[in-house]
Amino acid sequence: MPIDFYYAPYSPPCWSVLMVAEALDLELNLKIVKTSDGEHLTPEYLKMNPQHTVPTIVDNGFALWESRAIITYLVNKYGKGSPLYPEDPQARALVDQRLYFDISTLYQRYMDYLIPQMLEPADEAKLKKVEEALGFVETFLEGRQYIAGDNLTLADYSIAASVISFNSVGIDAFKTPRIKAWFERVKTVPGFSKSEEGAKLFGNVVKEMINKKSS
Amino acid sequence: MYFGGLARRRSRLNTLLFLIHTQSVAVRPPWVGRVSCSVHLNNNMRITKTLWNKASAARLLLYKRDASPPSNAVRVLGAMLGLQFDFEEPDLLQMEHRTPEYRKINPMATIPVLKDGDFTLAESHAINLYLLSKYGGEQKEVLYPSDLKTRAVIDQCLFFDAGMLFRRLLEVSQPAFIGKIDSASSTHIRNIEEGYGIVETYLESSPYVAGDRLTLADISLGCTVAGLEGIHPVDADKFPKCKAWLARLAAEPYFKEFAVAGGVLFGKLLRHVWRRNKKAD
Repeated sequence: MPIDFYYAPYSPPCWSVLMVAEALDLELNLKIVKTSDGEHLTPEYLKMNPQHTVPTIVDNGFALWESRAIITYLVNKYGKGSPLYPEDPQARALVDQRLYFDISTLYQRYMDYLIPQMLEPADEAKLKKVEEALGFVETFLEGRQYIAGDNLTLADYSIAASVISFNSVGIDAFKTPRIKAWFERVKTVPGFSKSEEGAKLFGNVVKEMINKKSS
Repeated sequence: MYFGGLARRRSRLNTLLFLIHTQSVAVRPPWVGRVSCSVHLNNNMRITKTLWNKASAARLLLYKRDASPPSNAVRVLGAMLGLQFDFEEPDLLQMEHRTPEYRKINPMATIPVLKDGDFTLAESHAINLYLLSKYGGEQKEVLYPSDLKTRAVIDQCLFFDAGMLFRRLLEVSQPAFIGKIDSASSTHIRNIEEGYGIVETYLESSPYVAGDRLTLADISLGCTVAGLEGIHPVDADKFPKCKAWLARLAAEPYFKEFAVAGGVLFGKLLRHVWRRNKKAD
């Protein structure tokens, strides 16, 4: 039975799930949630996910949200033994640390920079914080091919989903050599093109909202 | 993706990594003379005995502060597992976490950081998952069960803590510690209450956030809520399940000692800094 996948095509955290599902050859039953129409606030949606976020999956009646919890669940359940989420405690700890870094720092600072721009001019200090977070990613890549080691892991998918839309909103994510080289490697992973499509949509959504503010 | 109100986000202060971000340079080596090699004596001899050899095979060093909720989450778990840590305590108010020396250990300049032999790990949630997986013994199945759904809900709660709840604490503490604010604004309080509201939904049908038993998720979320109580206590009328859950946690060994005491200390520290900031105005 395919997994129901509630998502918004323009939402960055949704892309990592799309990519990981493709890497694991999983069939997702795609269900677009029109947040502009409040589809994430209906009683049915709230019953499924009281936090009313996307992405959310429903796997045989089991509802789960938080993209990073979803991708670890997918590998634990459908990709046991996959190098995407290694079982060695230290190797896994690095993947986990990067996932928590992504949610609390990289993606968070990105949103802190971007979202207020829908109401006010861009804050350069916030851009600096994004760039500092990218600097941390650059240090993760010291002596490593991928974010958490020499193999592709969930950390790459999660951080790629955050970084992939940077350029479409005018942040240069590739100023430093290691991130640039890493991104070239990540571009070839299964499902990447879906994220690129989403990133274009995201860029358009953001531009539209910023333009609305100034008009 | 979280669809919070724009107005709330607009007034949200720029949030930074942990506690303080300014251009300050501490000249002296930051933690020299501050190393406290506390030996932790456990009440629970059974656990201590079971894990003693395994745990002491490598020296565990934890960079922490007593008023830091994520540090306390690691200490609660460590105590439950009977682990012994050596401690180092960078003084965050003196920017000791932003020195080149500390950044070599953790470029992100946060606490807690764990050193297990030559393996260094930042980020409390990752540290707890690691400690449990390596030194958890029988507690592994109790605190992070192998049942995939339970495990996924625990992960979901941990990411909720990292991505939302703990940030509500940083929104208040970071600007306070760099002298920018002298109280919590109504937006801060509203954001904290929104966080409590989500914890309440996690407790809708079970006594603990990820089910019928205490798990890793309760340790992290509990430490964060104990810290948030130092800013704005949980109102039992608005969030009865959250309040009852906190009382349940406080009855657990080590939770009162580290999480609750740490939350109180955090509240005191914050008020001290608020008073300082008021005077400076």
